[in-house]
Amino acid sequence: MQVSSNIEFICPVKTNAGKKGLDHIPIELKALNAERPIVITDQETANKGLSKHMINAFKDSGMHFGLFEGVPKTADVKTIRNLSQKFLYKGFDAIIAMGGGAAMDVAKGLNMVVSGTPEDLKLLAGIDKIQHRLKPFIAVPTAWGNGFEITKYAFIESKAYASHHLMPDLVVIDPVLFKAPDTKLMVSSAMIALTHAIEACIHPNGNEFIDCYAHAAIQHIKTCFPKALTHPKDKQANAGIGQAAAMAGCAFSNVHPGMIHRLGKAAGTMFNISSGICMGILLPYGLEYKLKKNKALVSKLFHSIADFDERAQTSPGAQQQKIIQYIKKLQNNMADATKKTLPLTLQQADISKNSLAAIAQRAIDNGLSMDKDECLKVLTAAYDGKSIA
Amino acid sequence: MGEYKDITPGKKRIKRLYTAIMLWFVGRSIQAAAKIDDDVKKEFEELPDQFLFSLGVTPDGPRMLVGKDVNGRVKYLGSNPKGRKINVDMTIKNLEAAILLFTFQESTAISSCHDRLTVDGDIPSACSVVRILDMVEVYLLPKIVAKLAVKRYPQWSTERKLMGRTKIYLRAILGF
Repeated sequence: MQVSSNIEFICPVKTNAGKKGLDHIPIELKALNAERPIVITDQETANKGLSKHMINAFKDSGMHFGLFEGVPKTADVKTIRNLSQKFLYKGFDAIIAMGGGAAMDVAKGLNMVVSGTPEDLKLLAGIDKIQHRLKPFIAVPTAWGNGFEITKYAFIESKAYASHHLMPDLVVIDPVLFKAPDTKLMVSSAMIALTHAIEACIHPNGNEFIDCYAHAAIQHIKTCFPKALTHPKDKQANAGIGQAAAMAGCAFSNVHPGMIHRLGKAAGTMFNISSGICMGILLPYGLEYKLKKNKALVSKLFHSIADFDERAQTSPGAQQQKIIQYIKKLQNNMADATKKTLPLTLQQADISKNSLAAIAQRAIDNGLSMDKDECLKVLTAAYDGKSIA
Repeated sequence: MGEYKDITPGKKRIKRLYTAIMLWFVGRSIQAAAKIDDDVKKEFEELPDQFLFSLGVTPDGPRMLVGKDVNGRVKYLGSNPKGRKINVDMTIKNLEAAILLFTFQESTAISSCHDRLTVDGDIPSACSVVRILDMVEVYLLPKIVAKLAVKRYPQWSTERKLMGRTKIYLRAILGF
């Protein structure tokens, strides 16, 4: 193992995962010097009736809270403005976001506004613009997350925000919120988590601390994801993916987004497909490209994916093939679980071959530092479902 | 903002009542066990005089206080900690965690592993308290339930268990 000489790692997130995790929230709020939170959830969470679990968690705590169940599908400034007025008028002192990506993005946006001034939302867009601690923020992810809940990123309308101050103070992963999710949504969450973990693991700026979170996330997905696919009602397996997403988010917050993430996000945004599904399609081809370029990464990634016996039985020359095989096997399991409705190539996802160049350009515009032709190689392989030439 | 609501969460009265009864009974059983069981007696002898420990649920949940008086006698001291100097304060973080503990779905050791308990005070004394609680649970509960509640089920003679159980139940109910 190579030991890094310079390490920078930040993870200000406390995690509370497991049975009755939600019931810890009141005491954790007190520890954060807060006693009057606002709870923000998306409509999906509200429709599934999950808000009642939050209300139950506050029973006997002596705390009152505001509940907003109207977060739209994508975070917008109007909702944040309305919520910030309510927050200040009602004297709230903490934010709890429950649900998927939009609820978390609105909560992060609201936190920027109520911890500073309303103009902050415009001024703080970009990387590391927030210079001070924000209000206490608790994230309670559900099974339909977008993988960014526990990261330092927030996406509000067309703007992206990145700062470790946006990471939640506490993450609560309670199996009760992971009951029988829609398989496609769960697949999307798992694929984003796996992409984030793998890209953090093989990132050139990675270090041993990042590896800890990334390896654990990969192992969690390896254990829980097949179980969650065959037994969609298994709360523990689904919550395991939630935990993997949280770990992957912490690792991912310490590196720059990688090629598979950027291309997957660009394709997802342009064609209105879940980014996780696109990342899942791109993962074996993107990895093949990266591992061919840098052979030293193969052994590192194989160690995080394979268990002890597999490591002992596989020669170094066969490791790369095993990694790709593992991802492809996972893809086939996902396709079986969704009755073959899950696309395994970009072609099956109804993305035209002509638009691959536009996807590559969009990813490059969003910060991917890679040659366009190289991007096209990966995208073409993912389009045809064939190895990179 | 049509989807906004102010929420005033209610109370879990039945769970609160159940926990209060369990704490009351366990408290009185500790007092009884300290008189009839040599191991419990020994554990208390090693604790300082006027030692007081409390086990309760935060915030403002049911609580029990058990302590030694100046003569070394162990007493259940009710549920009000006001004005008392508590040496070991064991607090269960919420009522649901207390229910898991007192319905024996989780043992004390597992409960603290799951971060459901906080302990304020001297750690060796807290360990003594946990050992006392385990012994009392062995007396109070049938083996099949007690196995879930304690870390290791002890190898006691049937006579010790049955005689001790009868005496502790009688003393706890009658209060002497």
